[in-house]
Amino acid sequence: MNTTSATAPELNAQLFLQLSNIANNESYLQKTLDFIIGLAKSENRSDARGRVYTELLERLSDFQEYEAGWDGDNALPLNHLVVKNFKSLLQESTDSDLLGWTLFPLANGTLLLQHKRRKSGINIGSNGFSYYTIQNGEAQGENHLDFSPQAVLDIMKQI
Amino acid sequence: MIADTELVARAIFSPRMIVDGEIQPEAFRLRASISEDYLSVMRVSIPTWMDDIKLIPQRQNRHLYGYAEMNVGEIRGIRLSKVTYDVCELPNETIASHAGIFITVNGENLIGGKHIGSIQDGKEQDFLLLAIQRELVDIAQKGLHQID
Repeated sequence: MNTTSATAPELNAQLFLQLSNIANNESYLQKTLDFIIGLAKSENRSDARGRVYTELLERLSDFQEYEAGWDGDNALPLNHLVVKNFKSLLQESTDSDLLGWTLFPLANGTLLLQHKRRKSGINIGSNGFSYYTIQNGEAQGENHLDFSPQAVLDIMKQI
Repeated sequence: MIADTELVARAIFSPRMIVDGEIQPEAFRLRASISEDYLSVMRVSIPTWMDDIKLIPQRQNRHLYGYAEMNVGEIRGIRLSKVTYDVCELPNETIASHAGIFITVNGENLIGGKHIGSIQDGKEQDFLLLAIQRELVDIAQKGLHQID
């Protein structure tokens, strides 16, 4: 049972189905309990996703409409794998993870997650990601790291 | 020699370069397609600068949408290890106010699309370029103007 991407009516329908099955099959009891626990976790995450999550998602949606040459030169449209990676990052993030970060497209079809106050940014690509941070006049960072939502979240917290 | 007290204006040629009032880092990318070796700007102290800015070739997807005024001393004063920024005058017959922001890394001129030879195996290059753009964006953001 997937509780992370379903809508509230879908979740309600699944819950009703599970409860109704208890009467017919006792083995459903444990599954139903697991489902309810998963649902509670899902609702907690939904509460944690708020304004910042929505803003970034809306920004991404706008950037997905950019056509080749959007920079007035020869910029590429957003790569669909980059979009997929960024959405998977959003799925694993809470608003407190995302607070202070903003999003820009880059001309090579990747995305730049940039911190508004700290001089830090994370470039999300189709396979990997890079990051920079400037502290005391020194630029530090790494290139071509393997992408996973957790790896990016760890860097966001670190920098 | 351009004085530190002068302002220069970086033209913005696409509405996409300003998102919710924030200037995009890509507005400060040296273009690889023309091996760009400086970021073109106009000297605001030259009275014709606003007319000059309109002389920059405009074409499909490329229309003057705004500009960012930046203090020359602030650009030169960016403290980023290995990197220097300078602003030099580049007047020509038609554009008297033309100038450029030149960037060096370990003394080597930064050129769009070109590998920085002094950086071993290019390991630092990608994130260093983002850091270089970020310093300019933070200055430009303070003087951003949109043209209706």
